[in-house]
Amino acid sequence: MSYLLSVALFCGLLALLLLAASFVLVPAWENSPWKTLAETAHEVDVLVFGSSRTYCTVIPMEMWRHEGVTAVDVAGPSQPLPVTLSFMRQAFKTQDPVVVMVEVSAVGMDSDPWCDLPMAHRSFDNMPAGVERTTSILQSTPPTAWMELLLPLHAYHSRLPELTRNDLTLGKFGRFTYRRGADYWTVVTPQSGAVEIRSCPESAYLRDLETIRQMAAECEDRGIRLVLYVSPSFRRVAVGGLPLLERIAADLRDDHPQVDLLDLNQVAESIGVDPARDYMDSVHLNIRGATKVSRWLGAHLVDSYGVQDRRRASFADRWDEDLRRYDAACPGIGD
Amino acid sequence: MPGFPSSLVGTVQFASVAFLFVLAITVIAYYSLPGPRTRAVLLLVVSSLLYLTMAPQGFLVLALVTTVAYVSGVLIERGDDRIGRTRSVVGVVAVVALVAGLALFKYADSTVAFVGRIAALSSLAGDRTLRLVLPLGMSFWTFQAIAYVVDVRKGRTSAERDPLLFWLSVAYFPIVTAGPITKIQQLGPQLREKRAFDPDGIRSGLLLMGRGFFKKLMVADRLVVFVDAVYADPHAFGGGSNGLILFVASCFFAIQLYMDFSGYSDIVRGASRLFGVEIPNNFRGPYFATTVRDFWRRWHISLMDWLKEYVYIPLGGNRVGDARRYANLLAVFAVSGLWHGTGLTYLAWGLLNGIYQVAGGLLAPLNERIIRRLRIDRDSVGHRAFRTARTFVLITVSWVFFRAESLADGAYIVTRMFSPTLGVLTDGSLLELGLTASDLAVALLSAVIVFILEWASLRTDALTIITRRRVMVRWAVYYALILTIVLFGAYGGAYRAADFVYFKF
Repeated sequence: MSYLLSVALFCGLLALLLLAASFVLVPAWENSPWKTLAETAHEVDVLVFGSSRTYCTVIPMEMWRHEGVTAVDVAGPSQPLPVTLSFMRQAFKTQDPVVVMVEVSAVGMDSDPWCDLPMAHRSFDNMPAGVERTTSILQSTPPTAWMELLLPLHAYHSRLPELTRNDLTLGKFGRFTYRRGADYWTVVTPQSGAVEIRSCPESAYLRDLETIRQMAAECEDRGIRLVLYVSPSFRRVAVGGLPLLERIAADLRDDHPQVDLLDLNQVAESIGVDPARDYMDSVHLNIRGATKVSRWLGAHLVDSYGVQDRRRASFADRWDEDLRRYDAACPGIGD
Repeated sequence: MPGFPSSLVGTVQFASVAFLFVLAITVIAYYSLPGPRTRAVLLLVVSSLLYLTMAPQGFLVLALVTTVAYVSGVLIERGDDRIGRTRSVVGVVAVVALVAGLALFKYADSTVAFVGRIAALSSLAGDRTLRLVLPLGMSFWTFQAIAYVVDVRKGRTSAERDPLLFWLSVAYFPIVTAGPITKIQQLGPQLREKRAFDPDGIRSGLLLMGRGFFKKLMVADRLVVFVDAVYADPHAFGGGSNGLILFVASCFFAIQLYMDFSGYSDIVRGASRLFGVEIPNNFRGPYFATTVRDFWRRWHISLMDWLKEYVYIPLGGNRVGDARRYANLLAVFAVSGLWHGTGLTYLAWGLLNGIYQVAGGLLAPLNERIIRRLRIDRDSVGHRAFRTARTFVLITVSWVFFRAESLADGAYIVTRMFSPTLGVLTDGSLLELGLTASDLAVALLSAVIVFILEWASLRTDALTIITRRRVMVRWAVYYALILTIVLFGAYGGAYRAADFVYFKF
């Protein structure tokens, strides 16, 4: 018995040591949405999910500034839709949003299973441990990646050559919670010429359509309006010759008629997104473009979905303080 | 292997968390089971499944070789010499079949390709091969099977009648992939016994595994990056300004190979010790050897013992004249080279080591005279260090052929690796070959730590000393070892997890 106790004690101490080590050395994703969601529990009316096209397009602080809308981006780079569904379920544990937006350009984007390990690390390493994270890893990644993703200590061993003093800064996860999950880029890559169309294979589309149906069901069960959208981009997706959203609209019309679809490409010109100045690359907006889209989106959410102005709420001071931090971090860039 | 799910292939490798997980579950189940028979069944099931995850296509060959050896053993023991030479015939047929099987998988393709190339020169045929894949560990378990058949035939051991224990003795997962070549009569009795749970055995087994992981993940899998970069195109380094890089890469390969193979041996010996089963040690500080002959008593001991017992001694061993003895030595090392691979590089490597020893024997009187004339103290630290360094350099030169892609590459490297281009050590050239300064520092510092501990282990068992310390000291060592490997080991997505080098033999 005493032997078993000593083994348990040894393993427990080892787990604590590894946990401490991982907290210090796991590659920081300072923009991680999970700390943001914890800090703003039950305050957020709009959750925006998806891939990098989400956090490069929607700046929640701009929506707060102009409309008093509380929003958070909950997205990971190159993230497949099944993982986005896990993100959604996890986020619902701390938030009761009025509107959920999902950027769907990732339809059929990556192989199944998800083999892009650096990207998968970004999505999973900072996700709260539990059933959602575990099942998502097991379902969306190959068996050879399971150990590496389930035990995040794998994530920091190879960072020796790139360690800096900053790696020893405690509390770096979600250090930029004031951004509310958004990232911003000041790079300008002028876009011109024809839009590139990526043709999504039917089988991959149908696989992800099933995930979208599950998202719709999750939202309907909670009385949440689901908006499927695509960000302004010069690389768009088509399925069977139809633009992505048109195809989704046709497929969801019967069983999920209340799901709304929003193609931001169609409003981009009218709200002043300038292809010569507002793109970071062909699929991501820079902060100028994102600011324009976010201001429009805030007003759209208020007008179309009755999202409330929360600037008189008890937590408003904290959101204002974060807006000041946001402005201080990128003064005037968005103007 | 038909029917085995392809998604599971490759999921378990020895240097992986998955392996540790499977091992932990197996150890718990093993000691929870009541008798040795059920425990043996468990080990057999786990061994078979692990083999299937690593090399499903070789499973049937493993089964066939095991069956041939088992049936031969039983037939030899039942055979009656009064009514003919049954025993000898069965023994010879079995050994020939086993050797032929190994040769088929190991050499048929390269032979057919060679013949095809010659035929192509005379416009008779194209480039054809049989596309046979050498089953994982076949060289090891075939030698194990041959030793068993010969030993039963010679009456050195009785045949193992229990097919389950026999199968387990061959397929036992710690040894099936890359040895050590363990005699069935060594394993059988241990697997037959009911082992009580032994905390000390578990501790020392885990510590041994930790040392193996340290060697593999801290040193071998780092240095492999540098070595591969240089050996992929050695001609880029033979110039007048950077020839010494070839020497550095060759030294790194010598270290990498040792850390890789001895690391594997530590892992599997430690894993086996968790079940109370001891398998032989394959290494005894080989790079501290003072002669090439001494080196081969310390390196891959189980193979050298096998070659000595089943090749060298039957050829006459030391009981023959010098000329014959030297010829036998060359034959043994030629067999060793061919056992490792089909390329001429392996043969050259083996023969070079044989030549070293023949030359050592021939030059021994001259060496004696020089030592006496110069009044060199044989036991002085300086003289021992000189002999150790000389042996290391000689062995490193032979490793060049072991690692080179072709005989021509090997010759190119050996003729240029000693060029005095010391500038490469300081001008940053070494950091342009895939390893950063910190990677290099970690690998070399770790190698120094391993060598210091091994030097100490030659006098006393350092692992036992640790396991007998007070609990605080023990735990501190364990935690330091685990955290060091976890934090600084080379594994996972950012690295190409190199297979153990000896898996291919």
